Amino acid sequence: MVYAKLFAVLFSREWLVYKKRLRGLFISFLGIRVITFAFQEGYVKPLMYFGSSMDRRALMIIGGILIKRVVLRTFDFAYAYFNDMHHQKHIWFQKMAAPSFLIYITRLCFSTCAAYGLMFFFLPIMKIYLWSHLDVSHAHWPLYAVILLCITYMITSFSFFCMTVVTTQKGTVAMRLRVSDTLLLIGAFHATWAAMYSVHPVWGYIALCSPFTYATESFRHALHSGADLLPLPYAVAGLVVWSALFTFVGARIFARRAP
Amino acid sequence: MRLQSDFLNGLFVSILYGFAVRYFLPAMGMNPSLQYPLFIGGIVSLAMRSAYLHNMNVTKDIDASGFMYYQLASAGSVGEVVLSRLCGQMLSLSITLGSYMLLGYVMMRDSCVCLFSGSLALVFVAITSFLATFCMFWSYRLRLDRYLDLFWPRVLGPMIVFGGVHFTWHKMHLLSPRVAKIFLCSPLLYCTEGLRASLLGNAQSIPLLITVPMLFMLSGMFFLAAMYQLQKRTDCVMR
Repeated sequence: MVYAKLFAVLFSREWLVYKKRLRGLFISFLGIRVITFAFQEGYVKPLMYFGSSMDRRALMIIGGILIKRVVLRTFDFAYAYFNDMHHQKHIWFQKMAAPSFLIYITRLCFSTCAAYGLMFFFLPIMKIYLWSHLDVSHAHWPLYAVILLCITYMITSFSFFCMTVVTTQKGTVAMRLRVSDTLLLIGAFHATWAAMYSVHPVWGYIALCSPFTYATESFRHALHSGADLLPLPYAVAGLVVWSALFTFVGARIFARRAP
Repeated sequence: MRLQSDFLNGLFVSILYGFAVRYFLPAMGMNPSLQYPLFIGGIVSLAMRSAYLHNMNVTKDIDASGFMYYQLASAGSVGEVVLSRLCGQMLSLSITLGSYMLLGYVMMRDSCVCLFSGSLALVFVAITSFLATFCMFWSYRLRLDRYLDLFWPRVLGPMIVFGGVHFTWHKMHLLSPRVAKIFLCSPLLYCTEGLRASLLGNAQSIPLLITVPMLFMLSGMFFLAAMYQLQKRTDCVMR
């Protein structure tokens, strides 16, 4: 009960800090970014790459790129957490009053909720803009809602883990460019896992080592399921395992950190 | 140390991006003729991202550690500080962009690419100076939270979309000449098309006579704007 109350207090503190910023973020993302994104990814690119904007392959690529949007967004939230740890130092005051694990989980949950709120409406708004040029008739919307939540949590836990590990500003850039981008590019981001496997089986096995593969493939299942994707139970199991691992290890490292 | 780090940052991403364009996207059914223009667009976008990430630390520095104030106090003028930072960033971007290009060249050897030419050197300087001054200007203008929340979705995102990163301007012109004219408003288009023209040398790209002067002009404009913004942000009277 005490933990629940503490969680509520810490969560509301995050809400108060981000309240103003979230309004601007919603305008930027759902008002501006989605228009340009829909135009590029949903209309022009499929037309130039595959000759038709209604191609299933185009939807598969959109799935991968939407996951990249989640990664970019959650890394920005995680960077604010890094900034708090090393410059603003509010987090250390919180650490005196609440258990480390709870502080870490609260930040993680808040960032997940904020990123989920931003990303959830992205595809439906894209559909409204593109209408007949985007075929989401095969999308499984309840699955989309659940899978997107799992994916957002996994990616947020990954980005928080990365920002907990690094201690310098230079490290944050290196972490994003060397680790996150590398994992994203081998994580079936540009093409489906089956397409990577068809290039060479080694690529298929390498892709399985990236946590993002499970995110992109499970998201693609929600958009338009098919035999060319990693089976959904495996993809979801991968998401759960990676989420648990990043949360646990990240929280452990954070608990050992001192101002 | 920084240059070595920049080189390593560029290394991993460009190798994997090269693989994606060369093998994975064609395996999905993409038109193979788009491979080289797409790779060139991609590396410009990656260089832009690198400049964005580096300047994230600059805007934080002004508010947090305040190293910028020491520089301003020790240097003669704001112009000197901005110029020294510009040179540093251009060098850093050259390493990043150069490593992307070199690796792309190794991976895509069958294309008729000429890596060592005068026009390429000119385009290279124009692109790095533009990317550096552009991101510097925004990092001096925006505080960290606004830089994180607004810069990418409101400025860089649309600029990349209309910057011909994922397709050539020529193809866009064939699809819709009116929309292609809107693309000319994005400064990034001059970077991607300039690099395509100098590397691939095809007639379908926007000529270098347009792209290079345009990039230098924009660099000059953003340099002056960056000086003004830095002065405004650090001078408590002007603020």
